[in-house]
Amino acid sequence: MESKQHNEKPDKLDPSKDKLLEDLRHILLEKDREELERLKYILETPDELEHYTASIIDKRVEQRVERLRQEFRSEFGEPVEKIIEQKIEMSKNELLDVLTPVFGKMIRKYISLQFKLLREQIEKQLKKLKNTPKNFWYWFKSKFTGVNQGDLILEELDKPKIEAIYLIQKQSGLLLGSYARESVADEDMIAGMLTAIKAFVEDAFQKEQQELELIEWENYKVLIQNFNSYYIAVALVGNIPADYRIDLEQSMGAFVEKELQDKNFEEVDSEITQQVSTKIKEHFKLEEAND
Amino acid sequence: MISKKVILTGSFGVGKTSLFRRFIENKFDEKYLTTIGVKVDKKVVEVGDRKLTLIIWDIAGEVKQDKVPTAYFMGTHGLVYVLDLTRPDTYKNIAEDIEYLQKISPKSTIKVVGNKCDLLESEEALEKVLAEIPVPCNFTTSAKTGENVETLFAELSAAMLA
Repeated sequence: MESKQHNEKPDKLDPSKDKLLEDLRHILLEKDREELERLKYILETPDELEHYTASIIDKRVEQRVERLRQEFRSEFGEPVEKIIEQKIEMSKNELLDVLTPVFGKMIRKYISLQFKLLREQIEKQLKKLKNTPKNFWYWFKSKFTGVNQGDLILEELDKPKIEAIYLIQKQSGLLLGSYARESVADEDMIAGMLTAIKAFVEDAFQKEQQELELIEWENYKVLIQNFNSYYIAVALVGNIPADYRIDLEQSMGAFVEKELQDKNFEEVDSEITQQVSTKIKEHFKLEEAND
Repeated sequence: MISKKVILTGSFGVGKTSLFRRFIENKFDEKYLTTIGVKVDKKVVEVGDRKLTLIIWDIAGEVKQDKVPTAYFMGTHGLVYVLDLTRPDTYKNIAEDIEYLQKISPKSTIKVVGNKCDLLESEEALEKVLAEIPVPCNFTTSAKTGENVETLFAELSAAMLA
């Protein structure tokens, strides 16, 4: 029944009524039509469109930029870091070329600062020595040797100083006695490690009749004097002139001859270590005083 | 107080440094860091009424003992040969290694130690592994749990003083 109703044709309208309706629509929608025309003009004219939308677009862009700024690290940080890392890796040499002059400047600056400090130290030393017998001695020595006073003071500043002495059993690396100005590390461990280094070097180069005699790093040196069943290691700071080294080696020999001839180190105990340590302290302090 | 030199030796990765650290510091770390060259440390132990300073050398592991510098073994009083109970290749050469160590360090007290016993699931599994090792194992230890570590060094110290 229902479908039948839908299929029925509508009643034909009166043409005069149609005209009337059209006029009415025209009158009623006139304002809308004008508005539509105006909007169409705005949409089709770029300058007009820009005038009306600029403020909205600007505001939205600002918001997006701000959001991007705040969330950039979390959103893009990792891939960007990876790209930078890859770029750095790829252009290592170029980077070095750029950085080398900067490093050079820094090093020059550091060296000139160190020289300045050294000069100040010498001047301080000279001031301290003014009107003292030592100053007269420097003056006299300078006149006598032709070396200027500053160089003589420099020599004095770089004079070797014994920091520690260890008497160590050669094969076991056990400490037989020691003397140290300052306690830096456990002496037993130092003795063991020195022996291990010595054993490694001697073994690695397989020179049966040759033994390690010097370990050097920066301003520190460890002089080693080997004897039959033990060795003496002297840790020094400063420059070691050949004559000082000869004197020191002679002093070590004299110590062994004077203090260790009657010693039996089959069993190493704390009593023996204590006795030897006291003797080292006495003997080498005396040697230092004689310098 | 007497001082004695003790060396920990054996193949790489058997847990020498872990045993060393467990005994000296009573600590264990799961991370494996290979030993470069040698590390020396010390610990004072008491044997009855006597005190003894153990100077312990933890040396880098080598598959065969003749690869270790001979000089390291000179003047040694105690040798701890460590093997890994879970890796047969770490005790494959043990008989000839022990023979070599006895030859270059005849006065040393040697203890054979099977480490990582905590990784074996049962007593039966442990017995089975011990039967496969060509020489008698003096101790089974675990550096991780600390099992038998103190006992090992206490007995070694007593043997060195005897």
